[in-house]
Amino acid sequence: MRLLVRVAPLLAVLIAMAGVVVSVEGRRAPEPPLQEPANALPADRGSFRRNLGAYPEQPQRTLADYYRRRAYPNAPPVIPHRSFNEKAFGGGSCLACHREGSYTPPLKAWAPITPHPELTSCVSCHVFESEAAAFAITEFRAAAPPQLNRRAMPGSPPAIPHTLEMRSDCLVCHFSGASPKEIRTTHPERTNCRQCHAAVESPPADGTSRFPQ
Amino acid sequence: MAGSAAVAAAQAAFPGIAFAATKVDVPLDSLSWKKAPCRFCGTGCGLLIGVKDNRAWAVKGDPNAEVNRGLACVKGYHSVMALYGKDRLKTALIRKNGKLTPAPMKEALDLVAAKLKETVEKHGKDAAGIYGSGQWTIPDGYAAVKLFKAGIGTNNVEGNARLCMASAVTGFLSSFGMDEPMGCYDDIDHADVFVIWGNNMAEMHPVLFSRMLEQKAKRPVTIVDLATRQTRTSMAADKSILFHPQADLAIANSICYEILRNGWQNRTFLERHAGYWRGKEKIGYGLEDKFQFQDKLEKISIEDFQKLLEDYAPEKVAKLTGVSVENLRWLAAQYGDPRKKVTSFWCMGFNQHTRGTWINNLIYNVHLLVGKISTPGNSPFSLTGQPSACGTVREVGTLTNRLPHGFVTNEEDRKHAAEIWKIPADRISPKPTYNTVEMFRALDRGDLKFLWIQVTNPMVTMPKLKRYRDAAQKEGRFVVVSDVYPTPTTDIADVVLPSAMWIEREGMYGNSERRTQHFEQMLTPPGEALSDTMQLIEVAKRMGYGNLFPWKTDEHIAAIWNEYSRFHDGPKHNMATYEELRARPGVIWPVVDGRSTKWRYHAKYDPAAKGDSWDFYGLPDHRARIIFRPYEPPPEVPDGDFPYWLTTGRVVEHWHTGSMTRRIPVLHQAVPAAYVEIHPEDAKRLNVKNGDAIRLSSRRGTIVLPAAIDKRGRPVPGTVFVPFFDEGKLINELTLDAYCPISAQPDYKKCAVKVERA
Repeated sequence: MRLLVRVAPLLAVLIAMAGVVVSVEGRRAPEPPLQEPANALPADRGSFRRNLGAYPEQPQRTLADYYRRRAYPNAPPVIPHRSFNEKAFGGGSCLACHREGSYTPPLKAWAPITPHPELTSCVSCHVFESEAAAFAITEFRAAAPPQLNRRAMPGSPPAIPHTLEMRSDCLVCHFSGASPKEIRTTHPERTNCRQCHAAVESPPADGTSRFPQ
Repeated sequence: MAGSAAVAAAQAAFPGIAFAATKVDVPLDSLSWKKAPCRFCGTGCGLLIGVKDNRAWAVKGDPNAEVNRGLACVKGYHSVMALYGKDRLKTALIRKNGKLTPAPMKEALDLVAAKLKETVEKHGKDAAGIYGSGQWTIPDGYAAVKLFKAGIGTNNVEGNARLCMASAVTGFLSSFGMDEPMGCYDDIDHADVFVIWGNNMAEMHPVLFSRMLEQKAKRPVTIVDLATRQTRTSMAADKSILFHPQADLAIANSICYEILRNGWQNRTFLERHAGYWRGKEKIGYGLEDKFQFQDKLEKISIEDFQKLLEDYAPEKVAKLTGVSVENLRWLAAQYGDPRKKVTSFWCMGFNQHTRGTWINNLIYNVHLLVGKISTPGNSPFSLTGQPSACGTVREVGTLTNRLPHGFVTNEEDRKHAAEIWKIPADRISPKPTYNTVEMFRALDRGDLKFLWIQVTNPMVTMPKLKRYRDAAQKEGRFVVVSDVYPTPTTDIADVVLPSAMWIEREGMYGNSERRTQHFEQMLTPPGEALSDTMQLIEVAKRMGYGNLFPWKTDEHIAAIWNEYSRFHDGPKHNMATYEELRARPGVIWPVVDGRSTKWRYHAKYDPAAKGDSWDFYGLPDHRARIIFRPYEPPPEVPDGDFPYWLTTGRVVEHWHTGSMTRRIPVLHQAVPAAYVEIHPEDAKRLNVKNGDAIRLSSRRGTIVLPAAIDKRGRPVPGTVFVPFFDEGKLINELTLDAYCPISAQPDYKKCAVKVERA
């Protein structure tokens, strides 16, 4: 079964690459729509179950790889691989690999799992790259990636240094085949992450934060 | 692509992206997050901008914004990067010996004021004008209207929204007597069927499209895409129906015919709340200079109306429209099914149309016949493309025939304005002058000698571009351009004024759903850049109109809002207070007793509506107008010499003319240049492969572009599509300056071209 789950997305990719639009709906029972209340705790949407034992011993990606795809920390990453079908929509295309995060031999890579599979119009936020030079030089200064291991006291659990919008399913980045090695958790079985790890972001004065204060 | 080639391509697929910007340690908890509506489209997403040390570092979707509920699109997430192009205009430029030369802002403003004054004295008030934009903030537009209409006394004020939603306005005015949609985006949460007419919503209104897809994941919802080109919207829709250009007129009439033939109309609604009308026909195309047209509606009976529709029986129009009889009937059944709530969305496909007003009227006819209007989920919904096309151009009235909440042709409206502005009523001219196309024609003829262009790029966007570019450069014309980057429009300017952009100043926008959105000044503008409002005020003071703008600099936005909102007083249009706007991520008007009116014209939701149900109070008899409008062909159709249709549009990554989005590396690298989409069969016939150069020629110009075959869009056979964002590939050299005679909005979607292998 596990093999099937891992191979099916690959087949879908290969078929899609051959120029055929495929639907992967029906491949598995559709999951109920994901509802996230505004102040939700980080949700484990099953990525732990899906990924347990299914990721490589040695992580491939580094945090530098992760941030290289982003214009600034927290920006939506660009799509580093070639478009398979520019017209296709998430359910029939991107999510074939990025819902489960399986290994994709043609790309020799583990597909990162999306933390928000309920959003299926992937290409409205994630765009393909081309090799083009810049139109004009930018003086935008990107913030450096947040420092890791920000602990209140020696030995206390490190705080979460990033925003949680669209990324409240911790394990998809912190425990999956594409997890950058620096941030992979040592204890994925504890899925209520924010029991111990607090967000460092201070709530803004105007009360616009979606997070519990 | 063959399998092995695909694998080879995929193996080379990780070239990596270098965001080689300086990395500065800015811990997340040191940012302060401030709310602003997005700078780009008319959706009006609420963003939170992460600011520190007078720089913007990050963006997130505002979870408290009702429009987008925490989501943005790729442009929104990267929007702050548009502030930081190295070539930002930071000083004024004055053309000296043919060359734009840096000059102090004070000198440039002195020169603009002197030239404007001189033009008015020498050639009359109507020899000077201002051409602004749906990207003007509300205070910018208000200052422009006040300076030109109350100060100088000319109606030479236009906005680029004339090219973008003028037909929506005239559609609303003729059908309902008042502008702007009756519904709001909450309709998405209630509708069972969405019919998207000629709008690639997945790319143009991606956040609203995501809201629709979210509903689809939750409950049974049908999405229908009606278009002349298959796009991402078609791919996500349950049904994609393709039609021939201009055939939307016949399709809408055919739906009306079927509704009446099957008895699906809502008789009680029609008897109490609607009336039947027809207007003038064979109304022309605005191709001649000084074209004039005045529509006249006359009342008809339901029987007359039904008889007029007989020509539109599905079997009679299937060939003309390219839509099968079955699909026409199926569409009518979607609207006709009494158990289904239906929302229709449209944008430029309807509005940029030589019969733009008509097709807007026709979609209202469809909704009115079945009574599916002004209630949650039942909504004919006109979308807009610019952040404040509604807020500024439509509500402030930055058009030649308009005043804030009124018309220059209406004596009462002039008196009301004169009272608020404290000027003699005869200062406001009762005569509209030029619509946008006519304004540039007047510049060409020499009737207009001074033109101030703010926040828009007409030297990319005007149809039949060459005529108007040559016009602007003629001897004896003085063109001032206020912008944030060099563009083809600053290239033709005599004076360039550097503008403060978006969150570098305080302002308000108004989005597609009647929502007014305030943003504070978060950053200092670069160099001598000044907001468009302050540029106008500075020039006004130099011309002796300082008494019209008596506010202190640090309070001028609040003062403008307080004065401007008086125009809208009353339950039909009342605006939120300045304090409310500051506190909330946007407020929908009318605001009555502190509450927004989400659905207008229905007593259940709208305090201004009388009775217990619908009340179309914009019209004297309180009845919405069902107006018969026939099919008429476009002015230029493909023929032996020019056998293809050319249609133009946008892509999700770029906004308007790309002057901002192309300076955002992520967006530029995604779509670096324009291309031409062509149907695979047409490509085969021309022996053209993906990426091969294709020459497009119309009667007005020629362009060479790489072919895009089955990339993100596929036009119907015999049609090609070109995006207009690329200033290096000006597709508007080819387009035609024909316009809707009622709205004066040009048609960018249809002209005839020749297509050859280059």
